[in-house]
Amino acid sequence: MSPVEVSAPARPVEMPARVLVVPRRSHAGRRGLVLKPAFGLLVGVLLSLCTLVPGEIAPTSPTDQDLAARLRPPVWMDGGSARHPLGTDSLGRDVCSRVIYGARTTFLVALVATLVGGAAGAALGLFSGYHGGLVEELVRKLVDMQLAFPYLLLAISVLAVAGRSVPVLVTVLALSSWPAFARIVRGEVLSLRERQFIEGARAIGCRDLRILLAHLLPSVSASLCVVWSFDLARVVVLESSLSFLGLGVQPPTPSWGMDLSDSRQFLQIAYWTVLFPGLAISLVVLAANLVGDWVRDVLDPIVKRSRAGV
Amino acid sequence: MRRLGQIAWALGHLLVVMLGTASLVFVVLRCSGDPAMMVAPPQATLDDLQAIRRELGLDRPMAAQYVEFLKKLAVGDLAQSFRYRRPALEVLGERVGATVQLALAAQLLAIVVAIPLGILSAIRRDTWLDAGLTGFVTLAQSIPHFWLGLMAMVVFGVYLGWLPTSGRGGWSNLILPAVTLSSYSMASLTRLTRSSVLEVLSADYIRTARAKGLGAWPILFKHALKNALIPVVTLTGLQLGVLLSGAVVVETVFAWPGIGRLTIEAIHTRDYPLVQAGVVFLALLFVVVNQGVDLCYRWLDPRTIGPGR
Repeated sequence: MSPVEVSAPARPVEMPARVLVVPRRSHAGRRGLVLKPAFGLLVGVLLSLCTLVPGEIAPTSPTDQDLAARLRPPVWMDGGSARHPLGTDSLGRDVCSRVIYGARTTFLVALVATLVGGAAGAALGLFSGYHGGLVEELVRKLVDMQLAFPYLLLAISVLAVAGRSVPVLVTVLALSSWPAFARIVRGEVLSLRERQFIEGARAIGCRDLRILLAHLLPSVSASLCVVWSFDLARVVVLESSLSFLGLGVQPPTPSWGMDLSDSRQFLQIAYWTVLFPGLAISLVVLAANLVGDWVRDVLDPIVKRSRAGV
Repeated sequence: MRRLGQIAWALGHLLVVMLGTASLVFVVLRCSGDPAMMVAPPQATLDDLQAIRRELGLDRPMAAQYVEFLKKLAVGDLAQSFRYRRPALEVLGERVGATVQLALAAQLLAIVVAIPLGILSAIRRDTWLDAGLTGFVTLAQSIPHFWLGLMAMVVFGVYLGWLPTSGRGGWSNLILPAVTLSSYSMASLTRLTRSSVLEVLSADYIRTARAKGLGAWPILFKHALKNALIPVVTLTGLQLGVLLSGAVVVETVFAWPGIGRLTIEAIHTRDYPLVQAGVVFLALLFVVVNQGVDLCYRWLDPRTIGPGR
């Protein structure tokens, strides 16, 4: 791996011969196989701690206001104090505590939404892929329709009219996540249902429900994992976008997106009120994306082999 | 003649999709709550509510409302905005230029940056450059628009003072919103270009070209890119739709006077007709762009029979 001269385009680009050979896993790729899940695990553990025992980690309550200590900078800046390690916001609330408690809101909402949406999508995908016919056609059309529609707009209009509450928010998010699951599962089932082990199961008299749950579901579970982690990332962004627009979780519940939008007007004098909630969102999304990447990388050869029918 | 038939068919399809979109918006808005409650002031009595319902035509049967909605939509009559006291479509019309300008600028930026980077990443596969670009792409896909925008504002607007942070004016106002909006599409375009070029480079006809002694440049530019860029063109088009509707968030961050921000403001001021008009308008814009892309795609790649891949 010699360094490449980027600044000398006059030299003809050497087409690496190995492009034409069977692809092999690079050094970077191998390192990714360790780093990606490690990062994912780290963020996952932090997130779980923040969700389960926020009171043990957070310095103070996320809703305690201290108007005498508004917009205090983080501890490493002049005027910062150890009482508020990441500073305070415009109402004197502790930014660090709000980030920690906000994790619970975002994570739980996204988790429930993707699980509900994922289960529904997977069920529809399994059923429609296995049975085919009118049901399959209908599910496919529905998926295409929803994927061809700007979902953020739909979510905005629903939340604007139906009111802003957690159940509505979760429903809206779950409705956004089923098509991805349905599409992937349906595609896999379409090829799996012709395979011998399914034929065998049918031959020994398994009922359809048993074939679906005991034979097909385990076979698609790997793909479900991949879709789920990418979808979790997507839903976290969607949730915080909606909260940012003032359509998500309502105060006083701490939420990263809402904190960002509340602190926006103080951006010029207190960047920390915006920096840390956003950093938290980005870390969670990055971790979910990396884990998805990793699972896909690990499963890729297996998936390919099974598709080739070996 | 055959081409004409295709175009006619596509236009018919477009009409059906637009009708479906409009109906979907109608159903969602009607089923998710009582618009009269949203419009009414907090101290409104039941009689006031009834009056508002009558005024909005909400007291009539659902089917009649639906027909009325479609009729009005067909002639572009999307009711009066409460706040602006003018037809909603007129208010939207004044803002559409800003949204389109922002989306196009972001798209152009994404194309200009992403395609060369993707090609570079593919032909330098498995080098530090490729690894670095891939890492960067993953990072760019993980950072939400609104936060990236705010941070860019802090750095370039507040601390460095190079660029204005909000509003619409000269070209300098466009830079921050456009870069922010383009970040995600830039990342996915780079990724797609890379994988597409890699896939094409391992095709048999490239091996043949190499075997007959062609140099790396002619192979890349004359043979490989023509095919490798077909999916990239498709994604570019599809992203334009996403950018138009995704601009809601970026417009809010940068106080960009486009349709997205107008719609969000309308939600907060309970200007229900304007919300409905904004959503219908953006959704239709999105659908029309997507269908247009689908047409172009078929024209570019004669192998495709079905819609898209």
